[in-house]
Amino acid sequence: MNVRIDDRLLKNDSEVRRVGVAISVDHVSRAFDINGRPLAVLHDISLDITAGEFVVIVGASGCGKSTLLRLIAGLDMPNAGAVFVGGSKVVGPGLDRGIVFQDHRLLPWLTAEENVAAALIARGVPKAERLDVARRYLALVGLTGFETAYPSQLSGGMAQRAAIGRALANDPDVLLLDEPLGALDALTRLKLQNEIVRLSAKNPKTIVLVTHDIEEAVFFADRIVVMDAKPGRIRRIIPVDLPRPRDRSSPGFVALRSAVLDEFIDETH
Amino acid sequence: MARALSIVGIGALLPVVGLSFWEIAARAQWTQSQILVPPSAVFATIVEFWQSGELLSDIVASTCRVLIGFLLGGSLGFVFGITAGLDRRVEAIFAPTFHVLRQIPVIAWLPLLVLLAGFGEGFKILTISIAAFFPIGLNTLDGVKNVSSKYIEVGRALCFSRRQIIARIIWPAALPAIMNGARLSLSRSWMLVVAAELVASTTGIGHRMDWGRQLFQIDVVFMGVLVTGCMGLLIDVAVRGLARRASRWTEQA
Amino acid sequence: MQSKGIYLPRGLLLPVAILLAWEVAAHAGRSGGVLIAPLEQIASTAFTLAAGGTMAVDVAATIARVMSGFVLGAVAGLLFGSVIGTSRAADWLASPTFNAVRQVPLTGWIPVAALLFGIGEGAKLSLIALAAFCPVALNTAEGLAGVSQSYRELGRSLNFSGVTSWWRILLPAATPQIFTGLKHGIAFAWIAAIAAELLLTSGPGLGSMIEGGTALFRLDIVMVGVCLIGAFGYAMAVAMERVEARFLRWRN
Repeated sequence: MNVRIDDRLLKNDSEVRRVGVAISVDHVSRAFDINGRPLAVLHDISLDITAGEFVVIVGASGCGKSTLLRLIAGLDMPNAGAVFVGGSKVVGPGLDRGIVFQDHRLLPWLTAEENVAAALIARGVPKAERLDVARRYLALVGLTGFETAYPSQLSGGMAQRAAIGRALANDPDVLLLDEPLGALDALTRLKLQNEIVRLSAKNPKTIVLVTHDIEEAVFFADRIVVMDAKPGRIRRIIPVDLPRPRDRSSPGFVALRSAVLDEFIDETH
Repeated sequence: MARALSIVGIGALLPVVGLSFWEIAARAQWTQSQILVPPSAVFATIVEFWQSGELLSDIVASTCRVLIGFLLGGSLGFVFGITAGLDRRVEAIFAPTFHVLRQIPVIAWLPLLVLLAGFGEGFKILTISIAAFFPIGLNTLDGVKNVSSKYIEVGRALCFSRRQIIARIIWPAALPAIMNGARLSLSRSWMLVVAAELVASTTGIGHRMDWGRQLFQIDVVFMGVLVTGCMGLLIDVAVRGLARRASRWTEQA
Repeated sequence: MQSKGIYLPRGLLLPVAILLAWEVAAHAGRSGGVLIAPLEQIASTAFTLAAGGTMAVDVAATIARVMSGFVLGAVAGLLFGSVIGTSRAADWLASPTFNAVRQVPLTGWIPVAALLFGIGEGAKLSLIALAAFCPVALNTAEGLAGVSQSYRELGRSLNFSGVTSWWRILLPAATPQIFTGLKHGIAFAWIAAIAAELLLTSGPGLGSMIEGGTALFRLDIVMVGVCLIGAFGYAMAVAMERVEARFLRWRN
């Protein structure tokens, strides 16, 4: 059986950025002000992610997994520690990272292709070329024929496909997915899971995905990062050696899924 | 189509019956005919004033006032709403005063404006400007402030500059609210131009109505009611059309 | 801020500046035919009017008018809106006429009211009632017509009669929008009252008060009146919000 649980937290050395490390989270803490009192959401998190790796962060709600992703995205800043992407410290959002939110967040006043094209605005790409690229990426995510549809005319799954297209449009090194399938129905979710696997095989990227769906984690991950809540910290990192494409009903898959599930059941004791 | 026509037919029933009854009542002199003139007389009056050109010049006079006042007050309100909506410091300084002043019905400023600006054209333009200022100011301020932070975050994630966030996210998101404000501003302007002309004017629809009232010519007064109603409707339809184009995306669902 | 010694909330900067400018202009005595009344004179006039009891008479007269006109117009609007909001035939029959009447600006009706009812109480009440009627009727009709089909089906599946269904399901479901209409209604009623008092001056009232002040070139009286109109208009809006909050507790 391929199941191996790695108890050891990854050792980190903040001074040396090893070649091949795409994302390095270095002793990061984040607290929010709740009614004037600081609430620690992340406490001393360290994590290195290799280039091309697919890392899935799982944890109960409130464990700070989305906050960690937002710190990598540069949409939020840590109170202590730092995040490095491609060797340089994250000081804000960048086009080297594409992000997909749980709610598709397509701009409702733009068509599907204009939404994807918006990703190229900051680079100063001329409009015609932007739309060209956008159509290519819409085709890539399977939305040919819906280029001029408004987000309100798209189903939830289609809108999320367009959002993935927008995140890919700059061909970023890193793809950050914040529970991208959490708001979708079960069937659409299965379909899009396969789609994401197809896209990541076709166009390899470093991917960090946040989810609370353990099956999804086992399906995608090279490594699963299990997080604890209050304050959020890394409980365990589980490497997944299952062969790809993964078969959800294979004994290895089932065994690993229940092993990860046990992590959460333990928590209640 | 036939169904649509029959709906229109039913809708016309009430006015037709009402007006016929009114016509008969007036002709049969069931009431003092001086007060309740028959609709046919009102129609004749409209034709007469139209042919003499007086009606058109009244409409033009009132409309010009509304447009000038709306452009002045509306653009000022728009600028206030945008700057206060985008900049917290501007909002902190101006918004409290704005919210206090907007509680006062514009019509209550009429006497004060007459005292300060006299009975001339300036007083009317000023009144209409104030009437136009508040709705568009309020709606622009709210529209800009209420742009969902989620969309702004999309702009940040896509590395938009502040200018790009304003032009490509805040502006389109706030536009429906701004257009709604413009619509309210215009209808308030139209209401206040009539009021200002009733108070002090020698031209305009409001003046024509006041003139009719003083001479007990109720047909002239009803002509005024019809014309103000039609103009109000016209303006509303025009701005609604513009607003719909600006916010096509909100009604697709 | 800290170096200035006194702390002033930024929101007060503008009013203070306006009042200072006003005061300076008043004392500079640069009159364009009218003397700007200094603030202390406005304050003392306010005090005199309050102490003499005329202010209370004017305020009470306007509020009484607004309340009675509003109740008349709102009740009529609720009834009319209920009918055209629930019966399609009534909607087709009466809505076009109603929408046509609605287009005429409030002030456009003032000369009509004056001719039909004179400048007395009847004209004012009818104007106020009309002002309240339109938004209440419109929102009641839209609210009732917009009640979702699933709620209507619930009524049918519970075997409710038409009246029970109206009272137990349609009306409560439409209440939020009806309150929107009532809030607009009270605001318009207040505007209508001031407009009517201003343009059809007779008897006491805040509109008559500022109109009288204008006739006497007494800017102080006008200013006191304007402030009272703003304050009581705001108080009515707040009172309406309170009522709404009580009725719509289920909405949080």
